[in-house]
Amino acid sequence: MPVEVIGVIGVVSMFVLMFLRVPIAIAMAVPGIVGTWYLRGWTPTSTILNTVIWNHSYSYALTTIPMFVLMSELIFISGISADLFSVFRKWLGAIRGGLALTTVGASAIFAAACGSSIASTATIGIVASKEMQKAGYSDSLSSGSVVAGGTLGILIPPSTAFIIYGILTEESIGKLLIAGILPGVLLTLLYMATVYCAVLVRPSLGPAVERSSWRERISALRSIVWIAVLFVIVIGGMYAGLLSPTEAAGFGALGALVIAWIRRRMTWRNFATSLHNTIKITSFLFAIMLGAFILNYFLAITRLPANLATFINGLDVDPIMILLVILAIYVFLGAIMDALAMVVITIPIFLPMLHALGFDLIWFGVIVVIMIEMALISPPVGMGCFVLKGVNPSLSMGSIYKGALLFMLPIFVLLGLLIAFPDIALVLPRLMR
Amino acid sequence: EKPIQLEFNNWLASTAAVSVGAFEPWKKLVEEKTNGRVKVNLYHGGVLGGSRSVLDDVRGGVYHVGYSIPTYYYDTPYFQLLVGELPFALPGSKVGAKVMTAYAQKYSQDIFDKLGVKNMGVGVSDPYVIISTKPVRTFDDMKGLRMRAPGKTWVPIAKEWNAVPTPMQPEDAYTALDRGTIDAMHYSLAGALGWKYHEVAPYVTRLNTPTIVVNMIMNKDFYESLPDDLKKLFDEELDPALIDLIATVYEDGVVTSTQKMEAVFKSKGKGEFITLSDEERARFIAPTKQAWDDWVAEADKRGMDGEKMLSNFKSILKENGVTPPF
Amino acid sequence: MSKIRVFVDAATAAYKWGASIVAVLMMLVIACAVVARALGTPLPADVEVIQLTMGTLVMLGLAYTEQVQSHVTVGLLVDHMPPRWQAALDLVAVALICAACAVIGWVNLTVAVEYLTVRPRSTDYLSIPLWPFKLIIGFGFWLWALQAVLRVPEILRNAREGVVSIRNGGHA
Ligand code: NA
Ligand code: NA
Repeated sequence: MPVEVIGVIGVVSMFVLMFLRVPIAIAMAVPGIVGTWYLRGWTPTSTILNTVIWNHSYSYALTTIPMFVLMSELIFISGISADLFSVFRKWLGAIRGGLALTTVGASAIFAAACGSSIASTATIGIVASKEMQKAGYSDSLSSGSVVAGGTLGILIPPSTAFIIYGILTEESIGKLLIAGILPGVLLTLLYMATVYCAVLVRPSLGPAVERSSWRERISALRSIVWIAVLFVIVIGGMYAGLLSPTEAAGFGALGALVIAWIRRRMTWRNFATSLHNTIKITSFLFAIMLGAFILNYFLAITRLPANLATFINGLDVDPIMILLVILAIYVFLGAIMDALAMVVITIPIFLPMLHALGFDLIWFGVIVVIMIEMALISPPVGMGCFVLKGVNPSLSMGSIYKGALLFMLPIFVLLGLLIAFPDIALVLPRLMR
Repeated sequence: EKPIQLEFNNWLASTAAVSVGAFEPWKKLVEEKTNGRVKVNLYHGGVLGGSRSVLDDVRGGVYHVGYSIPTYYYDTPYFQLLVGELPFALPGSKVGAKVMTAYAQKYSQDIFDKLGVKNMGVGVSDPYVIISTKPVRTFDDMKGLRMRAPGKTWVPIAKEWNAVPTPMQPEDAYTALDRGTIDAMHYSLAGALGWKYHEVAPYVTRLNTPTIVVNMIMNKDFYESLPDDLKKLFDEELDPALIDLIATVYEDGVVTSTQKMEAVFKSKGKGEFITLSDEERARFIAPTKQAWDDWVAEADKRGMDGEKMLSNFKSILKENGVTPPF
Repeated sequence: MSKIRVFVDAATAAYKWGASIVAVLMMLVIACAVVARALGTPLPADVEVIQLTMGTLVMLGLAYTEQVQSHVTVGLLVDHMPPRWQAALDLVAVALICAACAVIGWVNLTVAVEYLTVRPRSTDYLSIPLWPFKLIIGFGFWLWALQAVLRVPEILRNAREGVVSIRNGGHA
């Protein structure tokens, strides 16, 4: 049997297991382990299970995830986020879908400080998701706005995705990061427009609440002074260069603890609950990542992704058609595998071709990052969706997927705009010269 | 007859100098010299495994050929090869590869049995530089500089240079340099080009010494499974060719990296390459004596004969016309 | 079964509290590192320690995550099936969790033994031996499997009584 066929069997088994309610981490790990064992034998399989697990869990950069989760849990459990959202309700509640709009806006602000979409989704998800439920928002609209907002984390600089693309392609990271700004702002607006249209068509998705008086609005602001201070420390610290993302996350967690304690919102029991939730979220997230990496190794040795890319290389059609086929492949791969792995495997093959066809590689970097964003939320393998499900288990996977699918539309719109008007991405980097 | 599939994992980017200038040509060379009996599947970007587990991965057959960095395995028999990382011991990549391959053949063949892999050849990185946000023209300019130093050996040296050694992940360093969290990286020139540090830290002070030992290794079972004539071909022709290609890339890389960076400096109107005067360079070298002594002591602690290993190394240096600084 | 349950739950609790301590430690080490750097004396090995706490946090938490049924699943299809079908598929899931975790745990435990005996490994700066961490990984995955096994009586009861499992799918 050709290895490619074995690869296809592996992908299909992953799908089947996943939809049979096997935990996602296991649904990915089992075909990965069995497939590698079949193709390579026991020794390489056991080595992978040693080195992959070590390399991808004993990692410094990934500590941003548990630390931002801990920060958010402390903010949530101490009731600070409830204060925050009561302020939003008083100011924006009279607008239909106001809280979902706020979620998208808050995500964009957080994205301007944090380069990871996972950390972004977890942070906003913990704080915002349950508050929107309380306000009577539909699960799918609230989920969609959280996972979509989370994707902004890698488009608005700083961004780990642009840094990886820059290294893979030797394009200027500085220019790439700048190139992400306008599309990032545009996507934020498109997400907001999506919320607006959704509640316009069906107002019950994000009901308006009673209008508050100006006195109520202003007095409510007092309760969020502390959290504002924390955000200034975390986001300002990253901007001023005093804190790396990991450090900002750890500092933010400690800050949230201190604030909750000063405001007498923190009991030992609350603290323990925050810690336990953090452990739970971190563990399921890393379990999925490890499962994905085990599966990725198997997929790589079946040469499935590489062959798909080589196939395009052989096509003799219009450059724009080739671009569309590449995007289609990214939509497909993004649905079934880890977003970054998808890019690392395919870029070395696509890039020389795109270069030869005369596409601007900074522009294509923005396109790639947008495809990663889509992959993060596209069902069934959408890390952003899993993160939200983990931080708010009361949401059903079905409504998260529904919300995610809705917010894939503005991403397609942005792609169309970028293809029609490449200057959206290129005007700012050009000014740098 | 079906060709033998050789899986070669490269954790560097497909566009990195070594990938383009050494690994891709070597793939062609192997397929040519074996008349297609061996097909090399070259994976870039660490698709099959990361940089820190190359030894384990090659030993375990995760892939067959890998580019291993012995210093990540400081606590294994690989320690012996780290003699090549003694500060300012080697003046360049080509002579470095010659010295290290000879040293490994003559004195360290047994460590590869212990490590469980086949040695294809040992080399050294391209020369390291100090790449900084403000110019380092003299030893005194180092004072108070927050600098990321490469590995355990160089952290105490950075202190001796009056810098503040600051831990930093390579992937965080671009942002850290940009925002002033750190002032400098002690890093390889081509590596700095790859991470684009020169965009935010436009001053490059040449130290002219390779700093990292590199090692190409092959899975043992894979090697044993080859027919005898292919074994011989790898031993006598293909393995040496690979190390030679790498050394050439590193040596040439200094020139091309310099050109690329200078073009950026010129277009921005800011940044330069700085060559130290002999006198200033000597001030950088002097405090590194301690690292040489420490290495001997560390070897003794690990049950090896440090003095003996060092004198063996020095004799090979001399055979290749290199005068050790200490 | 009840004796096993007591043992597995006790071990899971110990792992969970261990993970809690590690999370606090991670937060404090990061904060100390920032303060130390601001004062001009960076800690040389903070990255190394933080790396170790990261993996340990994950591995200590796997079993607890299973205990509170938080390993994410997609219930899109199965949630709408008859209870007996659901129970049968839950058994399949438990079997697969056991198989995968048994293998991964076994591999890491053998590596722990290897590191302890023939091939010692330790961290760069502080020379912290790595074998205890491999032990934590190995037992972490085995404990995950055991926690899954503990659910079997409940699944069988659900099948008998025709009750829909609360596992995942978002009904919890
Ligand atoms: Na960002
Ligand atoms: Na996806």
